[in-house]
Formats: sequence, C-alpha cells, structure tokens
Amino acid sequence: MRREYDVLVIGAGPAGSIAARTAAQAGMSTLLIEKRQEIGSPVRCAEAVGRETVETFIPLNPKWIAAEIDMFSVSNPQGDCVVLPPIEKTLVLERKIFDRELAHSAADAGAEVVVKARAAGLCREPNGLVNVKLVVQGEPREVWARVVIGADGTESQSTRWAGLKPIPQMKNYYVAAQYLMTNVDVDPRICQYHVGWSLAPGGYGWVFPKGDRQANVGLVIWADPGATKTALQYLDDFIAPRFPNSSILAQVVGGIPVTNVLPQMVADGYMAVGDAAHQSDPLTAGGITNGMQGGTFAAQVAVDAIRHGDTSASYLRKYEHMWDAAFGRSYRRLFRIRQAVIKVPEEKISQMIGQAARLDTRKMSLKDILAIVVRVQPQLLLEIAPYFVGQ
Amino acid sequence: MLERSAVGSTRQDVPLQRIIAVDYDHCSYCGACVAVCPPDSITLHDATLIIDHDTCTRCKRCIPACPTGALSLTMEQAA
Repeated sequence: MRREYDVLVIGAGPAGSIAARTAAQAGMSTLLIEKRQEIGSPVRCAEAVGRETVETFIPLNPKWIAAEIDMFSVSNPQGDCVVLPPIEKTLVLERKIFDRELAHSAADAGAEVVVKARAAGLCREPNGLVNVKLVVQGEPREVWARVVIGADGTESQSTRWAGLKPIPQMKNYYVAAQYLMTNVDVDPRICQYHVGWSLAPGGYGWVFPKGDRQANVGLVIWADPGATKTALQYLDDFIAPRFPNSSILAQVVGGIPVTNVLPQMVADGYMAVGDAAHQSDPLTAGGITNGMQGGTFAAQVAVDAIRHGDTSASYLRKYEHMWDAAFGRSYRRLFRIRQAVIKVPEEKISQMIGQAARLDTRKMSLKDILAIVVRVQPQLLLEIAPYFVGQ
Repeated sequence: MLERSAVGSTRQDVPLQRIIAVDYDHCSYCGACVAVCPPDSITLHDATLIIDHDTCTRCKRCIPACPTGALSLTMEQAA
C-alpha cells in the first residue's frame, strides 16, 4: 500500500469495483478497499440483473450465471398469476463469484485491492488531497487521495463524513429478508413476484430460480414503526405453505433505501456511488447494474477532474448531471409510482391481477395487459386513478 | 432521556437507563439499522454492531429497520 493515490474507492461491491477498474484503466493510481475479509460474501441481494445491461460492463461468464430467465410472473395472495415477458432478458447471478470477478477485473486493470481494510474517517486538506484514515487488518493506516469514491453500501459512513447523507423516511426504507432454498419445485425460467399487503406490507415477495432446484426466496417490506412482525417472520410465513419440503441453505437480510438518489452525490474530493448514494431502483430496489453505472460515471468524472487539476465539488458535479441524464426521469417516475401503489387497497391490486390472469399474457406487453384489464373492468381504473393523481 | 428508577436495579447507587439493546443471537450484521440512525450512533465493524448509548437519542427508528428483530428498547443498568 502506498501513501498517495489518485483515486481511493471504499467498498468492493459491483459499484466500487467498476469505479476502481474504470479509474485504473485510465491510468490513475487506484486503491480499492473492502472491509470484509472476503469479497462477495456474505451476499446481500436477490441477484437478478438485465442480461444486456450487465454485458455492457463485463463479458458474460457461465461461472457466475446461476439461471437464465425468460418470463416473469406476478401473483396475488389468492393465487392468481399473470405471466409476462420481461422488459429485458434476465439473469440470476451467483453474486459471490460475480463480485470477486469484478474486483479481479479492477486488479487486472492495475488497481490495488486490499481486503479487511475499512475507512475510519476522511478529511480534505487545504492542498486538495483527501486524507483517509484506514484500519487495515486491525492496524491504523493513513493514505491520501485526490478523489475518494464512497461505495460503502447502505450502511455507508463515508457519505456522512462528506456531509451528504439524509436519513430515509421509514416508508421509503425497505427491510429485506431472503433464503437461498433447495429442493424448490418452480419453473427454472420464470422469476416470480408476489404482491399483497398481508404477505409483504409496502413491498413484495419473490422467487428467483438459481438452477439445480435452488432459488432465492425473499421479500421486502417497508420499515413500519408499528410492525408486529419482522421481515424474517413475514418470510417464514411466506415459505411455509409454498415450500414445505424445501431446505434453507443460506439466510440474507438487509435494508435498502428507496428514496431516489441522494440530493447531492458529491462533495469536494468525494463522490458517492451505489447503495451509498441510494442508487437502487426506487420501485423494485434492484441496484446491481444501476450501481455499476453510477460507479462508471463517477470514475469517468474523477479521471477528468484529476487531469484538469480540479477535484472540487463544482467540477465533480458533472457526475450528478450524467446520472440525471441517464436515470433522473425514470427514477422520479418510479418513485412516484411506488408512492401511489402503496396507497392502493390490496383488493384492487388483487382484482387487477385476477383479471389479467385470465388473459394469455405471455406475448403481451404490460401496457396491452393494463389496457385490456381497464376495458374489462373500467370501474377499476376509476377506483385506482385517484391514488395516482397528484403523484 | 434518562429514566431514573431504582426498581429492579441490582445496585441501588446505579440508576436504570433506557437503551437500545442488541440481541447478538439474532443480529446478522447487515447494517440495515445503520442507515436510518439520525445521530449516526450505530457502527458496523467486521462482525460487530456497536451502539453509542451516549449519542443515541432513543428515537427507535432502528427497531423496525432490523430484518431479524435483534434490536429493542430495554431497561439496563448504566455502565
């Protein structure tokens, strides 16, 4: 480990590794630190990504692809099920291997990767360098970087040190629980979504097949201050009737902000990416490739800034503009959709799913399906529309 | 914020205090509680969750944010 780097990336998840790789490829001296002793473990994710999107970052490799998905299904608690083609062909990943492969690609590009190394504080000095206090293998260390990229996840502390972190509202915070289950009898090419307030209040459940009769079975709920059950208890209730003969191989839990991105993602000499910047999709909370795109944009701007000798927030803000051009509109819309959907009574959504389940939807777009449902049950539209007005 | 009461106290000179307690048998060290803590009183190290009871305001936001129910507000003797 050296004393000084152009770019220091905190956190070797997908967003951090892609940021480090992008910076290193541009010839920047780059340090990528990971607080855990093993990159990619423990997994904290449902592991589904768009095939073409992920391919723009890394060539597809069967060793980290657990399953290829052709269809999606949406079910209500009554058991009605709508099967839909996905917007994009989907892969279920083996994140443990995927994350390690990405960190490997960063190292290959010339980045120095260090595990069991956590950041313990950062401070920008008058000369423009950011001083970062580290704890490496339990020993205190100090390094200086021109730009620090915080990819330290939902529990990010670097965003707080940089003064950027707003605290999410509880209704915009998902609490997630998932089991990796085996002996699961599901169609291995269909990703299932399950909706219903009783099943996952304010969120949804999923069954994502991972091949070999295994599947990620999980759910997200909103962080309800009045809740009587934990996310894990909701999950146990979800699996009990559905997978009575299956075993649990792993348990994954976590929290995901669905607030839309931080109002400010940069400070002087600092940029936040991935979950640290709340870059997960504000409706589904999916965040792998979105974080990777954030990491790419941030590193590109960091490289420019270092070459121009100006790493101030006003220069780095270019990253926020790039993010906004790519995701701003769709994220604002998805955020508004979630705000509306969580107010629609469960039986209305169940009715819509029940109605759509009677159609042969396998070759239809979501828009076509909604159009037919509305034609068959026009009163549903009238009942649901008010929840969306003003959003 | 201190709730002063000698009832249930094992040592009469040390008052009971309301604190957020971690049930380490249930905690998965996922950090879900960290992101919702306004005063940044929770830190997640390698495999330890540490709550700073001096800065904690007992706002209880961390309790529903925990997927496993490992956090609760309990009465404990102050250190």
